[in-house]
Amino acid sequence: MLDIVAVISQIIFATSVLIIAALGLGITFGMMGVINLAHGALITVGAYTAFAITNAGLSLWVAFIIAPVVVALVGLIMEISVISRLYDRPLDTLLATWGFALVIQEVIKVIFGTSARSVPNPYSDPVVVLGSSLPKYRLFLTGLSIGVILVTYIGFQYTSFGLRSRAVIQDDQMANMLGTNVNRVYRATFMIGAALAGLAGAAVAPIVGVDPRTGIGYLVQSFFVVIVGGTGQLLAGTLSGSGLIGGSAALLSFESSQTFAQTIVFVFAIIVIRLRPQGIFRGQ
Amino acid sequence: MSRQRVSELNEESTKSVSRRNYLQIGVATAGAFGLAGCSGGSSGVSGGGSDSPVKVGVLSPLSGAWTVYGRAHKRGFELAAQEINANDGINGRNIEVTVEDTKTDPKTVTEKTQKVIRQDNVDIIAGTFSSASRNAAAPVATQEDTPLLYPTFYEGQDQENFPGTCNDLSFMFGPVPSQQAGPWMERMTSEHGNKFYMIGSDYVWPQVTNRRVKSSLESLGGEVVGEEYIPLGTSDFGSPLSRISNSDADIVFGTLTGTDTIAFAKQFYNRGLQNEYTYWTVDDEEFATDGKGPQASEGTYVSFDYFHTIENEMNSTFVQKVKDKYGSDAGMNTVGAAMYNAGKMFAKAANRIGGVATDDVIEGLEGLSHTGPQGPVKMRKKDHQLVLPSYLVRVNEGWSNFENMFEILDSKESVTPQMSNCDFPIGTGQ
Repeated sequence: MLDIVAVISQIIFATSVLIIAALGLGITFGMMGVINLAHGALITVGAYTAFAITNAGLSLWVAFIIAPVVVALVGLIMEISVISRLYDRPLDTLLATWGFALVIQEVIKVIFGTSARSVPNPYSDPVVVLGSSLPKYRLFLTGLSIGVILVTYIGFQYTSFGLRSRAVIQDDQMANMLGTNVNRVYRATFMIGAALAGLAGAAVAPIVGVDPRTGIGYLVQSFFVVIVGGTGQLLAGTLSGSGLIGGSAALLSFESSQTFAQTIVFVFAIIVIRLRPQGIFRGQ
Repeated sequence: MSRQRVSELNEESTKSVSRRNYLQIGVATAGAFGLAGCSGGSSGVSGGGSDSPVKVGVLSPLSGAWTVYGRAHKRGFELAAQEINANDGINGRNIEVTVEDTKTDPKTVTEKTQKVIRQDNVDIIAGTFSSASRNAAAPVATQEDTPLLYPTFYEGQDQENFPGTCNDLSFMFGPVPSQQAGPWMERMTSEHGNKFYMIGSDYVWPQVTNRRVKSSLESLGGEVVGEEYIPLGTSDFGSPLSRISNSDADIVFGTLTGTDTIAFAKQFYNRGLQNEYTYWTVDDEEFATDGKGPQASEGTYVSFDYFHTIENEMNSTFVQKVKDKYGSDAGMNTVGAAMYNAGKMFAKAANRIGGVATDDVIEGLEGLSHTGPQGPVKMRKKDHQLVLPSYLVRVNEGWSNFENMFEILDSKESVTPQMSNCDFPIGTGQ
């Protein structure tokens, strides 16, 4: 009774939201090894930036530019003050970033209060595709996820900054000796990861609302995406991880209860991690 | 799956334990661990001198998932206390409120309940928000023989949840399904159609509410064409929304809660479903609707015992007091009004009997009539459930504040709730 368009579109939508949410973590955790538990809080900051901007009467599209900038600056503060001192102690970043997450959440409460806020949806009518009505904003998010992941991948793979960044992450002593400013590259890379979290926050705000805990739900899912997909594999890892976590949850929830679907997906993820501890796409 | 489990539990014969029995068990247990002396001592102190303040512990969800509803919850009682103190207090004694944040977490509720009783020596407890938090506070309150005034719209009392419900120490100031949805079933089905799609959060309140609404719907010749429960904290409603748009439902009946109901409404709008279905929610009071924003909430039907926009003298004074104290953009909601009633009725009861000992409070509250911001209310003696008015509203187009958020469509001045499923007698105070 459910048409195939609805099922496929939902799988794509769920996957694309996860790609957007997890991509920043794919950089800070997947590539740099910072166990960034503040990723969810950074998404929340992005969502609140979108609220502040639309509340001031500006368009949501403005927020898509401002939110990454604001969150990149938050990332800069985190990097300079604490993270930069912990690159050789990755386990300690877990505690430090969790501390940042708590501080950020409380600062948000002080500035914006605890009640839920709303960001309006820029589109009002759905699009009809093959007899199924699809939400326009979700279609836009799908396009955005493809665009963002390609730009990020090309940026890290084919630009000179990307080359230096990967060199520093692989062997910072060697990169240093070859004349790369290691600190600056680490800093910029962390800021890019944070900026992507900010973009994710602005992107999900119109569909889930804004409150001090908005990003927390995406934190756990993003870690699953990065670990299942394979750390260090920005394109293939994020795509496959998002597809497996988001897509299978969407598919299963058509045939069973949502509770059951979510449980099964986490079992899947555990099995994948057991069979391929390096993730689906690691190890070339 | 989970629905079935709940109804099975319901059919099981439940053991009957009275509060006094429970208290004895509690004291015996405490005695076995050498704590009896300690707890006995503290309750002796709370008897208090005649000029020491009457102490009330207020437990509100000020952080965590249900923060959305928490602020008005606390404010309702604070306002009541302020008024009581301005009017000679309780038997000449001032009322002193200790507010504790329950963090929307049952474990924290237990700790805070113990804290306010044992450390602050409160005479009564007002608050807790969800059924889970009430059920966490009640055993402690019962063991310490402290009355609990509960403000939230909830699923109704059942002996299986004792001591959380069906407890002679507890008084329920919020509406049950027969007061909140029951009065409007006939009107909603005749105006919008009688096929319901039920969507709720996966816990006891939505499940029991839907069970009650379903039986009422069937007696009106309607049917439920879909029913599903979503885990708390879900942000993506794609598949449920696809199922809804593939169903031939007339009314989507919502018992989603917290931030989930906001995400659902936004995605419901995102798909343009508001043009095809009537959305009726029994959760989205002023603050949840505020979180959804005008765009995603316009045209939604909501029913409760209280709304910020109710027009009567009592409520305009009440709302004015809220604004004077908390700012001109502050709002009120059903749990805030219930906390306010709880405070005022507690003071009235204690003044009438002349004491705040547990038995005085019970005796004074049982059968007590009062006029709250929502209209006339009465604490039913037999099961300690408040008789309340009921209102049906629709969310206005392009609302911008709490004043123009809801349009009142209809009201019932007094709705007697369905009798609780308890092993009576509860109301034994004389």
